[in-house]
Amino acid sequence: MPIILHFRRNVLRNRTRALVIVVMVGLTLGVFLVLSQVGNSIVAYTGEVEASVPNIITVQPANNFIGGGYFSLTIGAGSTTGLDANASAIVAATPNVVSVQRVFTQPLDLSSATSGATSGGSFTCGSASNPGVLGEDTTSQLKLVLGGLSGAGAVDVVEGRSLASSDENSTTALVSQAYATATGKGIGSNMDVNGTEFTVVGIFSQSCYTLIFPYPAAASALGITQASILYVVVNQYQNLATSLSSLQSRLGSSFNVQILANADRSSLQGAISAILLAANFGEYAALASGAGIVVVVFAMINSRRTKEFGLLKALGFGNAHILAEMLLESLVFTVVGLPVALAISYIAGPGLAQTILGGVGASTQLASPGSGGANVSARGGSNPFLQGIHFAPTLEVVLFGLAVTLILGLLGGLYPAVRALRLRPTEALRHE
Amino acid sequence: MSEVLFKTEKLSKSYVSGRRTVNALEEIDLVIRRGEFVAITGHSGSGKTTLLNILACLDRGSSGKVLFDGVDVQKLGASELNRVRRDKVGFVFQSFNLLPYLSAKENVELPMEVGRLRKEKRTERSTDLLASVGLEGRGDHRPNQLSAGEQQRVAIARALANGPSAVLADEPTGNLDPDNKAAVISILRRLNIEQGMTVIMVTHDGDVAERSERIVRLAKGKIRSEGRGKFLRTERKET
Repeated sequence: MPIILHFRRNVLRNRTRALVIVVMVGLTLGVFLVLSQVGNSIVAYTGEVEASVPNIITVQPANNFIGGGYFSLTIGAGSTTGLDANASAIVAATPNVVSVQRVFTQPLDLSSATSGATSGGSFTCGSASNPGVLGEDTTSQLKLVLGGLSGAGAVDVVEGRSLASSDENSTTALVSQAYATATGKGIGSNMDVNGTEFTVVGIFSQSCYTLIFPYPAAASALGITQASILYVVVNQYQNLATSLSSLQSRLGSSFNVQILANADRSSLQGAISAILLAANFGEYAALASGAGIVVVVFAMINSRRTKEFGLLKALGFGNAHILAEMLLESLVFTVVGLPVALAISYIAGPGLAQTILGGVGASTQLASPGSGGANVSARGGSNPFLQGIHFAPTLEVVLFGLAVTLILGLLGGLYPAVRALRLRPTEALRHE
Repeated sequence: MSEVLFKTEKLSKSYVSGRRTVNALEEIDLVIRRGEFVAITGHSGSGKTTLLNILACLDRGSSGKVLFDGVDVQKLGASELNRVRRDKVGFVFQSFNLLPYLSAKENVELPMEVGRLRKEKRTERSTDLLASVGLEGRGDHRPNQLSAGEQQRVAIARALANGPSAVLADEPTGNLDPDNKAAVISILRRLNIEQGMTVIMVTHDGDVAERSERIVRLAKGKIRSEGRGKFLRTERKET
């Protein structure tokens, strides 16, 4: 095979040229691989963030106003909301609904309420003798919430532990710091609520007098049969509108069905889309510039061989032969450059990624409205984007790099080859 | 009278340089017979190299006919011209044009590679050809390890690689000192005498031209005169 014979001599006896090409290809591809890994990490992390943000719909009774205060309440003892076991079952059976969290809010003893009590039945902050009670399902994907309403914050446990899904059927309790201080309650203390003894397992940060119990035990102790509000988690953000319509249709006009903090969720979605676009753009920009550099390098080096191509033509070598030799050469150079690229990616990748993403710190943690922030537990540390990056050459990376190198090699070899082939032997031979 | 190998009929070549059209050749009628040793001479810009390139199928004329072995090469496609260059023409350049990364032997074998000759045959032939130009034992040397005269002799050996019908040489002695000049002309003459090889040589050197059989003088793209050189056919018989 004269092509391979000539190619072999050409490459082996022009070692400096071969080395320059391989290093250039390796460098270009190495940077691309690093940027690609950085981009993948960004995509993966934003995907985790997106997946961790609950897609929530709230269901409330239409004839009762709930809201307006930090700890709000409109439903007095014995009031009905319609959010009973039947309503909860209808909601849970709706397509795309992943979980339902029942929440009720109520003063422990409404008849003796004094602090903040109004004629409308609202209850502002309670007192040591008249605290507010939150009954919440602990098995939902959602976190425990304070106030149980749109925009209310998550529970921040400062001592002991929070309520877990295993507490759903227990009589464990969380108490606010204000209540604990005023009543001398601590972790392990017991509280009697209408004959049911609750055990304090955690104290959370709050200046109001609040108690949080698992929903079943709280409902039993307080004689509650209907929730104040249902938090409904939908499987995907895209299904929120459909689920909203479906729930409203199934529950009827007695209930207000709303998407929780939709505007914020859209804003978050927009931000994630922008980040993904930027990550992809960086990757493609690196590929495009890499291809450009490789093509230019090949063109520069091969332009010095124009006279050689002219000679080969003068000796009777056909265009197909010269084209095949140049493409073979560029492909071999780029494939040989792949290990160099993998080495560069492995060695310089962490530093380069740190340089690119170093400014992105803990503030990157994205918060989701009403649920206390995105729960991306897998990404600890100060820079979540850097946590998931691995620069070790895996089979996937090698195959990906090989595919990219072959494309670069073809692009790099094609242009100078076509350019050389268009010259007549006499024109090519005049090149110096 | 031997058969015609090259024949041009009203061959013209013009090209555009900047805004003006240059007529490099104007209606050249030339006949070169098989076995002739022809020198084409003229001043710079007379069109001698252009004529040689067209005869060697390295370039095409703008109009007219170029018959090579009875075939009008002006009408041949690119691949057919490649075959003509590969099989029928041996070209010797003024600046040798040896590939620097190949040895002398590999440079000579290069045209044979495209001719798909087996390796053993190639080696045998390149060794013989190098020996015929006085370069026995120098086959493994790279061009930069050879003198100018030796490089030109390698180039002549390369031109003979595929057993061409004619050797066309463009100023083959232009870069050589008198001794090497004489040696190269001697090789070309020997080829012509011993093998009956048709040799067409472009030169601006009157002394070199005089050592040919026939001299074609060009001026401004036209044949101005033709004459006989000192290399007479009788000399062949004596050699």
